[in-house]
Amino acid sequence: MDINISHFLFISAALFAIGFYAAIRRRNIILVLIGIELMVNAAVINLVVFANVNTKSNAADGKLMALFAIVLSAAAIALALAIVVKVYQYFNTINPDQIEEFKN
Amino acid sequence: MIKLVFYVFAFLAIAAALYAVSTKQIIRSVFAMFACFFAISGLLVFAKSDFIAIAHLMIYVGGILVVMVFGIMLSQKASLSNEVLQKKSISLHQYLALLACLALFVILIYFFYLYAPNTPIHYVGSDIQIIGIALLTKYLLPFELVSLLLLAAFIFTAMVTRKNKN
Repeated sequence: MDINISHFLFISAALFAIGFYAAIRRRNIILVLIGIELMVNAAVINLVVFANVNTKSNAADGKLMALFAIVLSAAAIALALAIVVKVYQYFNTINPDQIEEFKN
Repeated sequence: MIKLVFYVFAFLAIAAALYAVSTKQIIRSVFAMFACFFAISGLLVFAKSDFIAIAHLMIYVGGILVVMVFGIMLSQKASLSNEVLQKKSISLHQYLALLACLALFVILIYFFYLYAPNTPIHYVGSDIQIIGIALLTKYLLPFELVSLLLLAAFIFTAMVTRKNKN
């Protein structure tokens, strides 16, 4: 019934690698953001898992770090999508390879 | 039986993430992320932290993905046509990116194998009690700072997306 910790670490490593691929390779800002979200999720899984390894008193630390990471990534995504909408109105594209100048 | 459910969640998370980053149509990848985040939330339940799992489900599936769907709708033409048009075969860049993330995966697994303890996860106690006590004692200042930062981020988001008059 108790799952071994290495299973979680394998899943989080796979999710981190997949998110890294999306973040560096996809040609669409929204998919890059999805990749970053996948990497944050892998980190959250690791934090929660390691919070429960020790039975001693520091169980709250990892869980609160995971909670703060979730909240901060929510704020970051809201901000990033607002900027994506603005960039689309200005450049008419959301391909990061085609957005080249930032001055008007 | 319960282990079988865990493996189903694990498979669903990884398969949905793979589909989300490899499909050409962006709306499909967002809907695959619904499945992926749901499965990750199930995995957090198996990691013995129920409150984080519920918070994750509410914030990601109920919040972030809905915001992403709005973002796709507001930049509709670019997101729906952009990647379908450039239908090249697999190029050198793609090979390099695949190689880089495979190397990252192998390195992560190697370090986990070296340093992580290989023990099952214990049930420490109810999540809500631990988190509630810690948030009001040891982590009071970070908690308030995070709430302020969230407020600032949402005000700034509303300011950025507002239509300016001139």
